[in-house]
Amino acid sequence: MRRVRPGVLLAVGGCFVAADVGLLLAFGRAGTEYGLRFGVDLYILQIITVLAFLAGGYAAFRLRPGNATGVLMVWLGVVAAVNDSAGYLLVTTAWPVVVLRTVAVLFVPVQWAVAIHIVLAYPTGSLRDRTAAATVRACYAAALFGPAVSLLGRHAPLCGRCPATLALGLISTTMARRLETADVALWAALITAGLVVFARRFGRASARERRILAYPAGAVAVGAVVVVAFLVQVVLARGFGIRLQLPLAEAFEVTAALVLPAGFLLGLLRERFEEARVSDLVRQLAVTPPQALSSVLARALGDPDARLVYAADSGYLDQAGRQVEPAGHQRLTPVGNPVQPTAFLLHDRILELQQQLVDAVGNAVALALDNARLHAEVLAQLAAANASRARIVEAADNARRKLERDLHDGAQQRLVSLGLGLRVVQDRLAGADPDTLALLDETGQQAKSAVAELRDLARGIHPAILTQQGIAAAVEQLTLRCPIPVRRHIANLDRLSPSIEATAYFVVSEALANVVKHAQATAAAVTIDCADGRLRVRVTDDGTGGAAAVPGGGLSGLADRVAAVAGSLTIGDLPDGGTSVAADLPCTPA
Amino acid sequence: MKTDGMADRATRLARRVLEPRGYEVAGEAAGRLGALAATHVLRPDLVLPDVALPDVDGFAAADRLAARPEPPVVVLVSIRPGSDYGGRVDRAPVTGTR
Repeated sequence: MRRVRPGVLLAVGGCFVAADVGLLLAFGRAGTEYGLRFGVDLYILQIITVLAFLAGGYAAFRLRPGNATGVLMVWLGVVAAVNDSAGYLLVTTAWPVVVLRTVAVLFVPVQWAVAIHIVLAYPTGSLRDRTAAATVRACYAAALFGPAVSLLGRHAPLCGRCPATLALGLISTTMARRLETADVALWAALITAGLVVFARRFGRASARERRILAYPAGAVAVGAVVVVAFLVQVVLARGFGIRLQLPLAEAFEVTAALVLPAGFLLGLLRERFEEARVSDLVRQLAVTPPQALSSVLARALGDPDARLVYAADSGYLDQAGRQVEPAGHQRLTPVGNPVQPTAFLLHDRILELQQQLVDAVGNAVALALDNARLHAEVLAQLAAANASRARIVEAADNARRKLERDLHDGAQQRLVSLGLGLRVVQDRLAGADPDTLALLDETGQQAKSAVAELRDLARGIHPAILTQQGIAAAVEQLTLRCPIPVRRHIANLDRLSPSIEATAYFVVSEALANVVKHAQATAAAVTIDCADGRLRVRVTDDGTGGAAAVPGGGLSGLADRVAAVAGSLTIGDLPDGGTSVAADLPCTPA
Repeated sequence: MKTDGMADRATRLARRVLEPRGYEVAGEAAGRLGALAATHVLRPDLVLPDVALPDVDGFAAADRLAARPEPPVVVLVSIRPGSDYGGRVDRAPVTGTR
């Protein structure tokens, strides 16, 4: 049945539709008295039903050529088109009309079989479980039973001039009526069975599968309720003489015409909507941190349980590092390089029907992962470079501290001893000639100057007071040495890490040196405080302003030094004249 | 009385500077605890503790000496300038620094 090309089927269906429209035009005007068994609107609805299934089925076939659902829907349209002529009284006994009418009546049960086939094979178009396959086979078998009864019995025409269907008249009319009632009951049972199979499948479906089944399930539920009610009404009327007279035929036609094809088509169309979700995903990936990828791709795949997993020795790990055991209904699709995949999409089996969607999501995720990896690498390299820069500064500080100690313990110590020794010699040579004494005195002064120069040199290399007493005392000493008055606002600080203390000290020292050299200031101020884990050091003056960090200059070197300990240096003019040099450093405790 | 953590040569030199000026050197001690003990026994009029970086013990010694009932005169001695010790020199209960 599926080997017939849908285009051909569509043409055949179109011919029958044309015939139905012709019949409606021919008999519609005659009204119920003459040609129509029911109201005109019912016939119009019938034609719409046929067109809906033909068009919807063909659209579904074009969207998913590998999926048999579309072809089955076209078949249902064709069968329904054939059936439609059974609804007319057809007031003529011409033999083509008799044949048409017979074929129409014989094909009525086939539409039930095809409809159930579509529902149970949805959404793949193939029957994958044995119960469903058995139910569909039973339906096609039952579709032979009703026509067989019709052919064997003898049908009273619906009106005096109406054509009877072709029949052999081998069984009595009473017997035929009984068998027909049994046939209706059989269909009620089969449809119920199909419904149970479908409901069971829906109940067992994964979240993802349920989303696909939701539209057809809603449509089928509505249709099934109407059909079962209709059949029950028929059985009650024929078997027990109870006539309910509910407008179920009309309700069924509306359901069949609009709800069912729309439900199935919408279900299949979801894939098209899902491609829009892939573009959403790509947009979201730009702002999604890698650890949140799973939730974004679950949304894009329409599978709440979908996530990103990584191959590990012991199985699969999710992004939080938890062990993941793929469930029976789940499949793994490699992400990125398919030869040596490191990451996989764990998703519902049903998504295998939409390989394009899964591939698109996989590629987008692969890009995001690559991006995240490069980002992490760059960050790691940056962190390594920063750490190495901080270590270089620390090593330099340590070297300077050691140099200062060596100067102090060595040359300085000896020079002081030398000075003292000269004093002792001076004492002992109290009566010597004035020339010798003057020479001694001069030599003593030289030693004293040398000691002073050495002290200044040592302090410039690394201030001992910073090592001994910390930043507050060292800055206080700096301000006291400054030739212009400097106000101090120094918070009560605990000892900080040596490299932070040294950096803060050199900021103040370099800034004050600049003030004295260039600013023509009359006063300066130093502020140091620690808040929110940041040490803020600020030196301001009331001078001419215009200071800037020129490459190779003292302030530029200072900026480098500050950056090396993950701080920042801001140099700027104050609104009412003067310069501000501000450093923002981590307030790292010692 | 001279206390010192530094080399013997320096104490010899100190003795040579002090004695011609009429000071009698009552004793020398290396390390703060030894010096404090010695001042108990010798009861000197003048103590010259070396501030002795890096442990800056001279300041603590000066505090202990100043707390005695009859405190000696204390002159802190260091090779470094007083400014290297920040405010500690100003706060120390001593007569002079050198």
